[in-house]
Amino acid sequence: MALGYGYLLGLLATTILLRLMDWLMIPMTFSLPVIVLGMTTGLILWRRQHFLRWPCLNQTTEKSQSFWARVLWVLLLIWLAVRLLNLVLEVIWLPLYPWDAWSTWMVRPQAWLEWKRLVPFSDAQAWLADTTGMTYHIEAWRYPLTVSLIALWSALAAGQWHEATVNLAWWGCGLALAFGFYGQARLWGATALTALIFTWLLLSLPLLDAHIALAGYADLWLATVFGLAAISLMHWIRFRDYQQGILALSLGLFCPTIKLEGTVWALLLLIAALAAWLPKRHFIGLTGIAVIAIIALFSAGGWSASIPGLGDLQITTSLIKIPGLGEFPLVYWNSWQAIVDSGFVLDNWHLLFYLVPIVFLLALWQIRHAERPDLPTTTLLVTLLLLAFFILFFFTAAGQWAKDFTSLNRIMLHFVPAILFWMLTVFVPPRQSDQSSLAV
Amino acid sequence: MHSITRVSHHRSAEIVALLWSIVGGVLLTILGFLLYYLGSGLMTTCPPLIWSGQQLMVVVGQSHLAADSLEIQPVNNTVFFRLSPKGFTARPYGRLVWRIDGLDARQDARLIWQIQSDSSNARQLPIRFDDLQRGVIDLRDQPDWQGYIVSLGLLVRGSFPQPLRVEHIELQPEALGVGALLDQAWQEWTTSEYWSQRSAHFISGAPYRALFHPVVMIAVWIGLSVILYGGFQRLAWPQHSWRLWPFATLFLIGWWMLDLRWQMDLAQRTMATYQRFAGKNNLEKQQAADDGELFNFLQKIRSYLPAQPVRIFIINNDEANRKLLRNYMTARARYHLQPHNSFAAVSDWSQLSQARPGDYILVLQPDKGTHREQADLQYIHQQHLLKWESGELLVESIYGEALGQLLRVKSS
Repeated sequence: MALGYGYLLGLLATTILLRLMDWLMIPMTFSLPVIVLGMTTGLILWRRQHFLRWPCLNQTTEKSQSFWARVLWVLLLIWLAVRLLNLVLEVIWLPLYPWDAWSTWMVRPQAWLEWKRLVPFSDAQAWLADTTGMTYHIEAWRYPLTVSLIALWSALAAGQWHEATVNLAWWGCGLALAFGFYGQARLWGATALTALIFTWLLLSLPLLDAHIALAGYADLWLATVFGLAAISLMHWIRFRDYQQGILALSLGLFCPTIKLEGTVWALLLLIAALAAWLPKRHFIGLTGIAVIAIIALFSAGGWSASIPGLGDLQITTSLIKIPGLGEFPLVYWNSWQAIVDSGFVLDNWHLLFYLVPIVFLLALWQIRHAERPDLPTTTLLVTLLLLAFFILFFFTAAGQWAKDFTSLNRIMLHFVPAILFWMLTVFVPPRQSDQSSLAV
Repeated sequence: MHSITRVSHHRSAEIVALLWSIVGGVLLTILGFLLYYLGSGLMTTCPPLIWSGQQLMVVVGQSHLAADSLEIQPVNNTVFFRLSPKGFTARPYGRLVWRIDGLDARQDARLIWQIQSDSSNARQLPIRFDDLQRGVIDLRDQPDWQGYIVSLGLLVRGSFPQPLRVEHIELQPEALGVGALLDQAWQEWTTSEYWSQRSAHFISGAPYRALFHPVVMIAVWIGLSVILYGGFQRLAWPQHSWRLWPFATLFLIGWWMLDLRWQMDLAQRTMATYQRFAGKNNLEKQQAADDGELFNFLQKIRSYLPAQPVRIFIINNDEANRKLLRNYMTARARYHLQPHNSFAAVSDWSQLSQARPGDYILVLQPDKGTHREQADLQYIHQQHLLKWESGELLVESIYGEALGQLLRVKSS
């Protein structure tokens, strides 16, 4: 788990340091962030017994694992190793391939690498009017910078724009997701075999593998950041472990800096956190007020307000406009065929979505009959994710591209790690929360 | 001791029951799919595909709609048209039928198509004269008529005593036998297509409109096996409660089979990547990529640019290419010319008039100048002018070849 979360947080911290260097007008280098991160890591390790405590894994349960369970664990690990080897070969051999990579995410770092600073990317008018030659333009100039900064970091390490070196960060992201997922599954209370099976279910998803092999899209990063944030949140909901809460908060805050829709996904995490934190009747009351307000708003034809410094916020029956995110005309799109094809016919997700309704029923049964105080909130989180997906592809302009699958599966990719971990929590009861802690 | 033996015996019986459920599920699934496609299922899944004259895309030739047909005049004794894209699985469609006037024994007529798993290679079938006369081709015997067809067209070369008049073209399904269906299933399960720009959006796992989609088949198999096992369980051990592990095992075996298929697909893709790119440095990889020709051209362009990044307008001067491929060429050129500061989103020619002395303009010609007269931008060499409909710029020609030209702005 430390490897997974550490890789991710380390890279995200690096992007902050690179922004800081630019703000302080320090030419960007590879070594300065390394020094800062190294010192920070050293400090954390030196003082770790004061604030890093993780629960012990149940050694008795581990020793009682049968011989065949161990054999299966080893075989599964070999299978995953073969998969990761296959993917890393693609990453190393293939030149930068996917469209959004060479048209957007990997254009900016090359300019930054040249100038050793974060030269601005702006709209067409700004480029045409620019006299310095240092204002660049791409069509998606509004997109957040973090993924491009991650690519820049790798290029700084290589000293040049070397695609294989830059693309390796994507493979590392996939590996971090796997490590983080496995570690969290074990911490939850799953046996080594169960944790590895679920990690295999995640890492075997064809679309996830495609995003690792065809490095350059931002969706893998958002899936990993949001996924590990949601998983930490599920841990916090169950065990009230403040360390998991900090992880969830840290990673959740980064979601908007990966892709614009990360802002909405982070808000969904916030709603789930509120549901866990507030007394039940308060949360239900708040939800009721929100629903009534939305109904009243739509009945009255909508509402708009101007937010100083940000722009106009507008919510009407035909348009939602959120400053910083964009405008979303509300039109109904019949995207059912595309969703059924994506989830149940094409091999994007193997059999994952056949399992979703079954697990939902199991979760509802457990909520009614078993002592699982965490399940209502974590199931609410998954429900919110699927509801957001539904609204996006049935009521906004995104629906017009659903039939071409141009964004349908990439959005679902963001949610899949969280959904899969939630499934694990339905099948695997949480560890006994009175296990003693171990200082790392 | 007696209870341990009983538990052990019961566990063995469960495993045997599970194995029988798996085998029974496999047999029922295969039988079910076969019976469906041997019956009316094939005609339901693969209805006749019909194209009228209006649904043809003429690539070579001059066409106009006349009543309910499309009349095509040849250009350079050639007519080539594509049927509007309706991807389909080849094997069920055994007959191509058409009503086309103007075909002649002296012409060389060929059916041309591309399949999804090998879209860079076009397959051809010369049409025999008696087939031309009958207006029917039997496709079942053609070894290359397989896979998922993404593009289909007709090429006719030779003398044209009269224009071609195309009324309609129809692909008709024909019944398949058990052997052909099983062969089709095997092909669909083992098909591998190389990476494409849609790979980041979806992984089809089999040709898009496959008859035996792996995910669907595995889901059906799991469902049937669950029913069979559940039946065994209720009949043999009615007093025992349901346990999770047999159902989880079925699910995981099904998932693993899909993953095995995906791993084989991945391995084939990686082999193709290896053959194409392994052992090459950055430069060689770009040269071996799909746009290698453009890359080589841009390397020459780069040699004429200063070392310090400069501003460059990048324009695709081929309207047909722009419509077909959106901004692919200009965006690729921008990427390859980094870190030069390129503007690849010229949407309005008036933006060119904002170019300043010292700016560069890269005019790309994907058609290599074959439609020069129809291009939006024209370079007048004697006057050092770059002209478009509503403006002009005084420029200096730096370098040019068939694929494009680099100009430097002198003044507005």
